[in-house]
Amino acid sequence: MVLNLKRKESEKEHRLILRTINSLNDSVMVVNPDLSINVSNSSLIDMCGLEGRKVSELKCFEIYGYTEQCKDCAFLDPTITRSFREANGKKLTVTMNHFDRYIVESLRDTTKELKLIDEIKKQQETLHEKQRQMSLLNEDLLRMNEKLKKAHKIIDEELTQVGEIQASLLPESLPQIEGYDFGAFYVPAEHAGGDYYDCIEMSNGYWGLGVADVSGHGIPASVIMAITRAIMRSYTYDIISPAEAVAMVNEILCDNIHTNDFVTMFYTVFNSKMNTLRYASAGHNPLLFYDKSEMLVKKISAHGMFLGAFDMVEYEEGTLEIDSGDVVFLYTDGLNEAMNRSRDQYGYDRLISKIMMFSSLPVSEMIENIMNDVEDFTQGNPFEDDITILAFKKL
Amino acid sequence: MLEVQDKGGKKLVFVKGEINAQTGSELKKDVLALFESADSAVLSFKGVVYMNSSGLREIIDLLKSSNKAKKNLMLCEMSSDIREMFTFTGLDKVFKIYDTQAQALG
Repeated sequence: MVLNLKRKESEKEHRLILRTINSLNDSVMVVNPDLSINVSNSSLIDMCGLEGRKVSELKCFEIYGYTEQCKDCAFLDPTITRSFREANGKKLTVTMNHFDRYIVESLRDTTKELKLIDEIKKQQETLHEKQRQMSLLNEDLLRMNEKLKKAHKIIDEELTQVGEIQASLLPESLPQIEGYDFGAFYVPAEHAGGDYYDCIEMSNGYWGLGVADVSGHGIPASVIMAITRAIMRSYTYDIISPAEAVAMVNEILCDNIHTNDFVTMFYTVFNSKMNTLRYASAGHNPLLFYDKSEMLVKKISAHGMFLGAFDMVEYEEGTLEIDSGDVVFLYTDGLNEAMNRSRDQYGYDRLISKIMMFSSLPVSEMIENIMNDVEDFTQGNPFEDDITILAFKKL
Repeated sequence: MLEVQDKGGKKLVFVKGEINAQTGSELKKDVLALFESADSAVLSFKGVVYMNSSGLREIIDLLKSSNKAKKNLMLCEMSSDIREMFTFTGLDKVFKIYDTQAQALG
């Protein structure tokens, strides 16, 4: 009776234990030293696809599809407490605990976690690969940047050299003519510009005086400037009609320059003995003439097309008579169009008032004062265009 | 972007602001693109506040390209300053310049 009671008690405990382990999500099996399965829960059957099979008749390794004892069996090496197995297409993480003579294995389905870890690893590899490529690209960029810097430096040096050559093309000295005072100013917007002025003493005693502005800046403009200057100093040398001279320059430029560049020029032929100035304009800004007798500055111009754009063009010509105190002021549009930061132009009104204000000064000082005023106006805003001035006064 | 109106087969283009090297070059490109679908374009200069020599260069370039493509380029509604620039440079003889839109659109 007592025995029967004890057995019933023991069976009750056994059922409780079974119910408990059956309620676990993880699979659990208790393995005997002979590797047979002493007890297992229902999760094991679901997890390992053992429906219809008697688990109690299986050896533990058969759960995992092996035909012999697993190599990392905890019975072989008691220090092993965790291992990985595969069953029913799932990746299982197995935790092994020794209890007395038995081993309790709990199996967790870690398929998703492992897959996730796998994906993370793959992504990390991709990331590493991309980082490697980026760093290679970065190295390439740095190298290219170095090359660019070098190339830029070479171009800069060459431009400076072109600028120096160009400066050497300007008259070394201004005309020394009795009764007259000359002044000039030249500053390119970049290292090399497209402006120039020239004073050519002809064999017949006349002077060819002019300012020119090549469209554009930099090397192309400076090459065209050099060509124009060479034409003026060879073909039109000794031609006393400025209209005829610029027409000739236009034809030669049209024949030789096939880019879209063009040149504007105000060209005058000065007869210092007769105090007369004949002038022609090839699309250039008007000459400013300070007439002392009338105390005003006149805009003097003549009709005429740019040089090098359209051939077979005729140019108008005019003549000025210069009296004592009169000022002839030639310039390029970089002067009147110099801009401040608000993009207001220096303009003719300011320029004309300054010419009148400083007309009694030596011409070089007049130009200096005007340029100071332009710089005051632009307040450090860099000049966008070259500025050239050639002026003279009858004393 | 340019404001363009279709006027009986002619494109009427409203040019605005400054015409300098950059805006002039864009204008040239845009007008030449218009010539792919039209034979005539009228540029209204009413909204032009300033044009420098680099801008003028692009306009001349546009005229040359238009002539080469046998397209008709016309200009109208210029301010007196810009008109003077065209007159003094003799460009009034190579460009077709009109006082009003109506005259240009004829």
